[in-house]
Amino acid sequence: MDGVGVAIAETLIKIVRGYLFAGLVFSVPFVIFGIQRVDPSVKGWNVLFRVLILPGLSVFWPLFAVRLVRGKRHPVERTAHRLAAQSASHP
Amino acid sequence: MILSRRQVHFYSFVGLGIILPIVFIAGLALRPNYDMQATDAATDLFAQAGFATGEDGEAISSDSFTVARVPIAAETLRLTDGSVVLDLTPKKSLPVVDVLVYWDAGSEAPEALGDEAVLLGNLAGDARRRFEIPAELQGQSGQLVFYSQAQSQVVTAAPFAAEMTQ
Amino acid sequence: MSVGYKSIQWNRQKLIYDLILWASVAAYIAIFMAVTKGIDSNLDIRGVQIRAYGSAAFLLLHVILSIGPLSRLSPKFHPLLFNRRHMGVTMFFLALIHVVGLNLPGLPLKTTGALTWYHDFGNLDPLVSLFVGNSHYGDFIQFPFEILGVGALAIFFVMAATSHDFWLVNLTAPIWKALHMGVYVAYGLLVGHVVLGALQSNRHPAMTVAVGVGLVWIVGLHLLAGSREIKQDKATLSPSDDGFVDVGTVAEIPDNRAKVVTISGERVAVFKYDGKISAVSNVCQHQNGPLGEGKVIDGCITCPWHGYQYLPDCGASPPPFTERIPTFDVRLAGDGQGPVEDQRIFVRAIPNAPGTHVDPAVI
Repeated sequence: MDGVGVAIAETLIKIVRGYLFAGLVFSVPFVIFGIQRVDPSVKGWNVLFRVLILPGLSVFWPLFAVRLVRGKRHPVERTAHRLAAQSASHP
Repeated sequence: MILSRRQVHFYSFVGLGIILPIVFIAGLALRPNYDMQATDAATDLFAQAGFATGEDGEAISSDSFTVARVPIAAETLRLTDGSVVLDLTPKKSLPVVDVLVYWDAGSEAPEALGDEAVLLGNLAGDARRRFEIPAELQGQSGQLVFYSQAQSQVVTAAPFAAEMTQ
Repeated sequence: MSVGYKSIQWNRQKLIYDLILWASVAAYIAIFMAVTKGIDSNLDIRGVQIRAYGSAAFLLLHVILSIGPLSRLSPKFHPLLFNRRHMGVTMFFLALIHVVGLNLPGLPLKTTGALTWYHDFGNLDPLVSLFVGNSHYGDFIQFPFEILGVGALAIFFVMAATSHDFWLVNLTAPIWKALHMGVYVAYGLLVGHVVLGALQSNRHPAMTVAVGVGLVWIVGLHLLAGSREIKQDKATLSPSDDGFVDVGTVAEIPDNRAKVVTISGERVAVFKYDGKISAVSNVCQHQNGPLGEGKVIDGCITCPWHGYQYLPDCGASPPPFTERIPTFDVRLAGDGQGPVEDQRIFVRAIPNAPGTHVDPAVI
C-alpha cells in the first residue's frame, strides 16, 4: 500500500492508543478516590473489582469525568413506564 | 429487554437474515482458483535459487559435515555440460540465520572470512541445494566456510578435499 | 444494588458452570490440535494454534447466541442464561489469543497469534501492517477479512470490559443492553471474516456446511423467538374511559405467577399471590429481565434471569437492596358477585412512580 495509507493507519492507531491511555491516566486515580462519589455502592477496598472495571473505564472515562465534575450520580434507567409515571406526576 | 430493544433485536436479525446468506453464497461462488502448476519457468526459478531440481550428473565423490549440530550430506557431481556442482542436503533446517557457503583456500579452519573467499551460494531449509564450483577451484583443496550473514561470523568450516572435485 | 459490588460473583453453581465451560474449551483445543496433527504432521504448529483458538471462539459465540432465544422459547434454558456473561468474557479471551497469542511468564501454554504470525517480520509495525497489508477495500472477494475480525474483537472488548454489574448500574440497563446488542453486529462481521477468510483457503465441504448450518441456526432461532415477542408486543391493550384496562379474569393466572399484558408501551406483570392481585412493570431494573415470567418466592416477585426480588405491592426490593420499579393500581370488577374465579381484573393504564405502594386487590 502507498505511504498515504500507512500514514492514515498509523494516525488512527495513535489516536485510539492516545484515547485509551488518557482513559487509563484518568481511571487509575478515579477508581481509587473518586468512584464512590459517582456510585455509592462501591464500598470497601475490593482491589480485584476495581481492576476489573479499569478497562471499561478507559473506554467510557469521559462519561465519568463529566459526572464527577458535575457532582452527579448514575442516572435511573428510562423505560416507557418510568417516563409515563414521571409525566403523570409532573404534568 | 424493553420493548424498543425487542424491536431492534427483531429487525437486526431480519437484516442479518438478508445480508449474511448473500455474503455466504457470494463468498463461495466467487471463490478464486489458486491452482498452481509447476511450469518450466518455475523449474528455472528453483534452479536459480539454488535448489537441486534438474538433472543428476555423474557422481564424483561424497562427504558429510556437521554445521551447528545438523548433519549435512555433501555430494559432488559432474553434469553433462561439464560443470562441477556440489549438492548439500541438511538433515533438518539449520538453526542459524542467513547462512552463506564460501570456498576458502588453506588447510586450517579460518576464524574469520578471508578476503579471497569465493561465495558459492546460500543455504537454508532442509532441501537439497546445489552450488556450482567455478573451474578455477576444481581440483583444489580448501575449506568450505559456513558464514552467518546476519550474525557476521563464521559458524563452522570443514575441509574440502581436492578429490571432491576431480 | 446497595450492598457493595463483588469482583466476580461466584457461587457453587456458577463455579461448576465455569469449570465445565473451561474444561470444554480446553478439550476442544486439545482435540483440534491432535486431530490436525494426525491428518498432516507437516503443518506448522503455530498456524494450527491460531485456527484452534479462532474456531473455538466462533463456536462458543454460536452457543452464546443460542442461549437467549432458546430461553425465550423454553424456560428450561434459563440456567444457561444465568452465567452467560462469563461465557462471553471467555470467548473474548479466546478471540484475543487468536490475534495476539498467549505468552504469559510462568504459564506453560505458549501460543503465537495471527498478528505476529502474519504481520510481523516486515518493515512495518504489525498493527499498521494489519490495516494496510491487503488494500483491496473496494473489492468483495478480496476484501481484507482481517478488518472484519478487528471490528468484532473491538465490540467483544467493550462488552467484556463492561460485563460487571457496576456497568449495568452506571450505564443503566437499557443502554447497557443496547451496547451489548452490538454482539449481533459482531456476529455478522465474524461470518464475513470466516467466509472471506478461512472458507477461501479451506475448501473442505464439512467446513462450508458447518458455517452454513451455524448461520441458518442462529438467524432462524433469533427470527423465530423475535417474531413471537413482536407479535405479543403488538397486542397492546387500551384503557376505557375511566383509565383502566381489562386484562382478563382471576382464573387465568396460576397462584404465585403472573399474566403479562402490554399497556402504555411496555409489558405489565399482573401477579396473583396469597389471594391478592398486584401489577408491576414487567421490566427488572437489573438487566431488564421479564419479571412476569418469574414466580413469587418468599413473598417477593423473583426475576427469572438473575433472581432480583421486588415486593409485589410496592415494586421495591427488600432492604438492603434499593431497586424500585413502577407499580399499577388494580381493582376487581363484580366485587362479591358471582364465582370468585370469574372476577375480571382491571389495571390502570398510567403507572405510579417506581416504588409507590398500591393496595393489592383482594380476591
